[in-house]
Amino acid sequence: MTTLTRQDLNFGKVVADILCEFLEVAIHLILYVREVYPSGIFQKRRKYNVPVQMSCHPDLNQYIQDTLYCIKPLIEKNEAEKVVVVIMDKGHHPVERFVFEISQPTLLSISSETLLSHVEQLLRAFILKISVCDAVLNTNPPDCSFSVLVHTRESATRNMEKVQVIKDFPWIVADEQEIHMQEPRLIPLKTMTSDIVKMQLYVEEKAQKI
Amino acid sequence: MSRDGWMKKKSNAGDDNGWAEAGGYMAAKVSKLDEQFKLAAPREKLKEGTSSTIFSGISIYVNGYTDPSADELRRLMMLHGGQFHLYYRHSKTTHIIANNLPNSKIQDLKGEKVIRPEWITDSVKAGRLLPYLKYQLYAKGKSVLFTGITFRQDKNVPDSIQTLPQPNVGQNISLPHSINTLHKNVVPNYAKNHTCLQLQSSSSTPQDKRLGHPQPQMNSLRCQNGVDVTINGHAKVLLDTSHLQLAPNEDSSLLRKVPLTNGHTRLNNSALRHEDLSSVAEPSDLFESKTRVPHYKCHVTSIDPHSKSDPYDFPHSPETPFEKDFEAQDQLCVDVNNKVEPQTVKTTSCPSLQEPETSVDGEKAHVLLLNESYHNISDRSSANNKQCFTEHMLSESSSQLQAQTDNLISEFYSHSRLHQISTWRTAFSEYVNELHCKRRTSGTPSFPGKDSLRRMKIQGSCSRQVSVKSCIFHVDMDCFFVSVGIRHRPDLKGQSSLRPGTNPQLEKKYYEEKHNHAQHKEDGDLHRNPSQEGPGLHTNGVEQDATGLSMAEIASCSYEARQAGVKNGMFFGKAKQLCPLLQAVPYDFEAYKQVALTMYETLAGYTHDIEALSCDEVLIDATSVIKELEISPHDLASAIRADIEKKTGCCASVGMASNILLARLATRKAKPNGQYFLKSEQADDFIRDLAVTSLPGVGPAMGRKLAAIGVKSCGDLQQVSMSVLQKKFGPRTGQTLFRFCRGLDDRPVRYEKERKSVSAEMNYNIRFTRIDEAECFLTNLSMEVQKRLKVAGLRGRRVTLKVMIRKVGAPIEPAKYGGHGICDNIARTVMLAQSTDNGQLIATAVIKLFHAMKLQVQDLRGVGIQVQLLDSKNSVTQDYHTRSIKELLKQQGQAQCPKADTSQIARVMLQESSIAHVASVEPVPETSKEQARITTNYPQSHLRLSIEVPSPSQVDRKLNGQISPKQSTFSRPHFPSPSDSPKSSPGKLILQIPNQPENTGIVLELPNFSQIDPEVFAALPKELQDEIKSAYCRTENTSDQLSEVRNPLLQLKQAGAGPVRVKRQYKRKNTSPAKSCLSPIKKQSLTISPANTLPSPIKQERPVERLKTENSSLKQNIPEPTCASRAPPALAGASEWTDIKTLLREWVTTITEPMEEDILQVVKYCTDLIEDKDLEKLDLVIKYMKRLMKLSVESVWSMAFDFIVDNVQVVLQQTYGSTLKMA
Repeated sequence: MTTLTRQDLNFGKVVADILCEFLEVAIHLILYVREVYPSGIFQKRRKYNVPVQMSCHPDLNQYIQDTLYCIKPLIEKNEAEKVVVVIMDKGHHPVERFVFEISQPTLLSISSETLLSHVEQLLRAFILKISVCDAVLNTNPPDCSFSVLVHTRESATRNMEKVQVIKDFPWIVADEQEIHMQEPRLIPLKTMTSDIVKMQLYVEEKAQKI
Repeated sequence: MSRDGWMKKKSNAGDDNGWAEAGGYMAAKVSKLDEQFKLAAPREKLKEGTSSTIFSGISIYVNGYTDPSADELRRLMMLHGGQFHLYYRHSKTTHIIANNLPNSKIQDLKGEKVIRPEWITDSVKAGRLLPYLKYQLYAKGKSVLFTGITFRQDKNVPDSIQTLPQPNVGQNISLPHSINTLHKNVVPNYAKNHTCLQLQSSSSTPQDKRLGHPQPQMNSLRCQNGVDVTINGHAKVLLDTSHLQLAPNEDSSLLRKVPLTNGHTRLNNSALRHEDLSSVAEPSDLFESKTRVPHYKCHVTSIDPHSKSDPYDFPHSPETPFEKDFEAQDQLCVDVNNKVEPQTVKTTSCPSLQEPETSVDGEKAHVLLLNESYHNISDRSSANNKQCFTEHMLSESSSQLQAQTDNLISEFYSHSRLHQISTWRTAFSEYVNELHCKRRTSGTPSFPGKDSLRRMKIQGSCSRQVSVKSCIFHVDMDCFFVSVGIRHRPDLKGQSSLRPGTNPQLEKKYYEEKHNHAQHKEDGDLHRNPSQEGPGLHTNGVEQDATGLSMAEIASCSYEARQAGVKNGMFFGKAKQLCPLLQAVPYDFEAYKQVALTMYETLAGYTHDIEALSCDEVLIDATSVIKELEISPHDLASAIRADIEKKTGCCASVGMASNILLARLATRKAKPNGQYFLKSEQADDFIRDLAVTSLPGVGPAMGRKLAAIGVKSCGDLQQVSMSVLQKKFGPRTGQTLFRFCRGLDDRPVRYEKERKSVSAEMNYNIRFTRIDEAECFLTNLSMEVQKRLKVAGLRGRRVTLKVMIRKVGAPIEPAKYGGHGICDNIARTVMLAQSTDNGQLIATAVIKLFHAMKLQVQDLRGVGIQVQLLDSKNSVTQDYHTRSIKELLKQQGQAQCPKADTSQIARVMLQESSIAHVASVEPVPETSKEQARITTNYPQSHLRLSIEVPSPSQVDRKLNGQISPKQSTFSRPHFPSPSDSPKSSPGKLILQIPNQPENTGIVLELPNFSQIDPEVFAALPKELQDEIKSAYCRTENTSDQLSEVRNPLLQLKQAGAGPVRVKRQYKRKNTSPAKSCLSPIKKQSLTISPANTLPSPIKQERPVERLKTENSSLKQNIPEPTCASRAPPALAGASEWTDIKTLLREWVTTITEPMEEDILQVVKYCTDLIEDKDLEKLDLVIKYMKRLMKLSVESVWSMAFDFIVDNVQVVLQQTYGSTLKMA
C-alpha cells in the first residue's frame, strides 16, 4: 500500500479523467432516461461494459463535452464538490436534480483495489442505477430542459473566472431560480467509495412536478 | 460433457494424443493391446517355465508409478492368468494397482478397488489369490487425516524380491516367528531400503531378517546396524548389518508427492490413535510389537571394524522378510525367505548404494510400554522412520484435506504429547493451587517431608544453623527426560557411570521437529533432489551427510553427552557425529508425568510455597520452612534431593539463593545432581562473570543486541545505565535487565500464577491451497483457543494472530516434511471491545486480521492465535460489571422498593463509587414538563424526568424479584461519559419506575447497552424484561426532552468501545435462554422532532397513518454496500450492509418493543451515513426498516420507525436541503 499525495503521478488528473468520462456517459444517460430529449437522438453504445445511451446530436454533445472540459480542471484540483444535472420545466424551475457529490481524499492511497477495473465496476453500478432511476422518479413535465451546475468549494470560483478553459464558454453563477426547488425530495441512487474518489449520486425531485 | 469425462480419464492414463475425438481409435487400440497381451502371455509362460491361473478373471490397471513396475506386473499377470489393461476401463478393469495416488485420483476412482502391487506379488508368492482387502491402498470412508496416517505395513520387502530378475516365487516359507520383533517398512514407497538383520535365535537357526527400512528422503541413505539383541533372554538377534539400499530407479521426489493413504486405515487401532501428531516425530509408536519383553537390550557391536566391511556379506545370507499383520494386531507373520539368489541381491544392493564406511554405532532397540502399546525404537532407524513418517504425514496431509478436517486442530492438540507436556506446567500450577485450597479448607496440611526433617533434626542429625532471611529454592530435575527415560534401565546408567565422558550416553527425545535454518539450507539441496542423486552418489561422503541430516531434535541429553558437545535442541544427526555412541530413548509420557507428579508431591511434603515452572522445574520459597525447622538451607536441600531421588529414581539439583534469579543461576552451578547455595554476599561476584545470555529472559536475540553495545557478561551489563537499557529494550525489559545483572530480583514465588495469555499455535503441516481452508483453519484454531480459554476460565481482549509465512525464495517444501521451513513471522494484534472467550468472535477478528495481511495462503506455514489481557470469567461478570452496583443494589434494594411503591417514578442514581440515590418523583404529567429531576449527581443529564437505574447487569436478581412488575419498568444503564467511568462500568444508572404504562411523559434514558451483561439481564424476571423492552417504545413521548439532552447523548455515544462490544453482547443475548430483550445497541444522535412532543395517544396513531402512506416506498432495495475504507459509519460495529440488515432484522424480529437506546443508535447511524455522504445506504436502511416494520404488528415499532425517519429527515434537510422521498 503506497500512499501518494495528489501531486504524485499527477493523480488528480487521472481521477479527473475518470470522472469526466463517467460524467459524460452519465449525463447522456440521464437525458435519455429522463426524456429531456426525444429518444430518437440517442444511440445505444457500450460503456463500462453495459449498454448506455448516447446522444448523437452534435450540438448537445458539444455542450456536454465543453461543460465537462471545464469541470475537469476543477475536479483535478478537487475543487468541485458537486456536479449537478438539473432538469427544468418550461418555466425554468428545476424539477429534478441529479447530484453527483464528489469528494476526493487528500491522501490517495494506492492499493490493489484502486485498480481501475475496480473503479470501473463501481462506475458501472452508477450507470445501471441511472438507467433504472425512472422507476423511483415521477414523470417529468413536457418540454424540459437541462443544465449542468457545479458546486465548487470556496475560492474556486475566482480562479474559474480568471481562467477560461474554453473561449466563449464561461462559467456563470447559477440563478437562484435554478437552484431552488420547492419541497425537494431526496432519492439516493448510488454511493461509491474507492481509494481515489468517493462519489454519491442522488436525485432531488420536486414533490409536485406538474 | 461425457466426452470430457472420458478424456479426463484418458489423460489419467497418460496419453491423450488428440485421437480421442476419433472415437473408435481408443477402442481399437485397447482391443489390440488386449490381443497383444493374449499373444504374449503364452510366450511369457513358456519362457518362465512357471505359470498359474491364480489371477484368472482379474484385470488390473496400473495407475502411476508402482513397485514393482507396471511392466513387471504385466508380466506377472501374463504368467498367472490375469489381464493387464494399459487403459483403465471402467467396467472391465477389476482392480487398480497403485502404490500411491494423488487425492484427486482417489476421488475420481471412488468406489474402485485400488490395490497395492504387493497384492499381486504376494499372491504369486503364495501361489493363490490372496484377499485384496489387506492390500487396499486406501480404505473407503477414510476420513480423518491424522488418524489415517499410520504406518503401512511392510509389503515392500516381498516386492523388492519380486522385482528381482529372478523372483523367488514359491520359495517363501511362511512361518510364525517367536521372536516377535516387528519391523515394518515405514515407507515402502520410497523405499528400496532394506535393513538386513541377521538374527540368531536361541535355536541357533541363523535367519536373516530382512527388514524393510524406511528411507527418509533426505538422510537415511545408509543403515548399517550391527546390533546384538537379546530378547527375553531366549533369542539373540544379531543384527548383523543392515543395508540401506536405494533402488536405482527410485524417484522419491515423485513419490513423496503422492499421498500415502494406502491401507493405513486399518491401522487405526486404539494404540495408534494415541499417537500424537507432533511426534509424528515418533514413529516408534507405530512399531508395535507384541513382544512381551519390556525392553530388550541391544548391544552395540558395530563399533568393531568388521561390521563396517561386512555389508557385502549380507546379500548371501538368507533373508527373512518380516511382515506384520497389523490388522490382526497380534499376529506376527514372518516370511522366511530362505533362498535368495546372491545374484539377485546384488542387483538390489549394488555396491554404490552401500555405505561401508558408515560408523556403525550404537543401535539400540528398545521396546517400551507406551500408550498401551509397545514401541520399538532403534535409534537411527527410528530417526529415519520418524523422518519418513513425517514425510508420510505430510505427503498425505498436504495432498489431503489436511486443514479442512474440522477436528484437525483439536486432534492435533489432543494427540500432541509435546503439547501435553507444555501444558503440564499449568496442570502443576493448578496442583499447587489445589494444595493451597486444601490447606485453606482443611486447616493444617500434613507435611510429611517437613515432619521427617523435624524428626531428623531432633535426632540431631542436622546441624543447626541460623536461618537466612529469605531463601528461594530452585529445584530442577537433572536432564529430566533422560533421567526418567533411563531410571529403570540401570544398564544405561551403569554404562555411563563406568565410562563417563568416553562413552557418553545420550538419550534423546524426538521433539517436534523444528528447523534450524542454517541446517536447513545446507541440507536443502540434498533433500530437494533426491531423485537426481543416482545410486552412485550415495557413497561414503553422502553417508556422512546423511547422518548429519537426521533432523530429529534432541530434547534432552545427559550430562555425559553434554560433555561430548551435544546440546539440547541439536539435531540428532549432528549430535551423532559429535558423539557416536549416542543413544536415543523414546518418549515415555506416562513416566514423565508420573515422575513429575511424584516430584511435586514430594516437594509439597515440605512446603506449599511452590511455584511450578515446568514439569521438572520448581521454585520453592523455603524461607518459612527453614525458619520453622531452624535448619540450614543445605540440609533442607539435601533432604529434598534425597527424597526426590528416593521416590522418583531421578536426581534433582537445587539452587538456593535469596531470590528467584539467583536461585536459578545457582542451580546451574549445582548441576548435575548437586546443590549450591549462593550467598547474597557472593552473588555479586558470581553474577558478574556470567554471560548475559544466562540471565533469564535474555535469549540469543537480545544477547546479540547486547553484544552490539559491547556487553557480554553481566559485569559489562552492570556498567550500562538503566536509561540506556530502557531506551534500547523498552522501559520494562530495560529495568529488568538492569536489576538482573546485579542479581536483584524481587519477584515473589507465586503459588498461583496468572496466565498472561492463552494461545494455540500450529506450525506443523500447514499447507493451504485456498483461502477458505485457511479461514476454516483459523476458525478451528479459534475454537481451540476458546476451548482453552474456557478450560482456564478466562476471557481475553487482545487477540494476536501470528503467522509464519514462507520466506521469499525459501523452498516450497522445507527439508522437513510438514515443517515450516524458513519463514517470516508476522504478527498482528487487534483489541476486542470486550473480553471474550468466544471462539467465533476470535475467529472473526482473526480472519479479519488475516485478510488484512494479504498473504498468499499457499505460503502459510504456521498459524497461531494468542489471546492476551486476560481476566477471569468470574471477575468479568462480577467485578467488571456488577460488583459495585450489584452490591449496592443489594444494600439499597429494600429502601428502593417501598419508595417505588408509593411514587410513580423512582429514581435511583448510582455513582460508580457505589452511591445510590433513591428518590421518588412526582407523578408524571403528560407533557412531562413538570417532572422534577431529583438526581443530584448527574451533571450531564438534562432530563427533567429521569430515573437512573443500574444497568441490568448490575441489577441484583433478588432486587428484581422484589420489585413488582408494576413498579419497575425499566432498567437500563446509562453512560454519562467515558471519563466518568474509567473502568467502563456504568457510572450512573437511571432507574425509572413508572407505575402505569399509560403514564406518558416518562423519560427513559436508556443506558448504553454495551454495559449490559446479557447473562445477567437474561436472569431478570420476565416481567422486568418486558418492561425493559417496553421502555423503549415510550421514548417518543419524551423526545422533546431528549432533544434538550441531545448534547449529552452525543457525548454518551462516544463512550468506550461501544459498537463492537455491543454487537457481541447482542449475539450472546440471543443465545441466552431467557431471551432477554437487549437489542442491538445503536448509537444515537437525537434531533428534535415535532412529532415527539405529541402526547402519546396521538403519537401512537400517527405511525400507523404514516405507514400506510409510506408503504410503497420499497421498490428499490438493492444492497450495494460500499464501505468506506476509513472508519465507515457503523451500527453496533457493523458497517457492511448485510450485517446491518441482519442486525436490524434481529432487532425488529426478536424484540417485541424497541428500546430507546437502540432507536437512538439507529438514528445515530443514519446521521453518520448522511455525514459520510452515503445516502444510498441510508436509503437502504430506511427502506429495509420500513419493510421490517410492516411485518411487525407492534405499533411501537411503527412509532420507533417514525421517530427514526423524522430524525433522519431533519438531518437530511439540514445537510441537503431536502428530505428523503419516502413513497
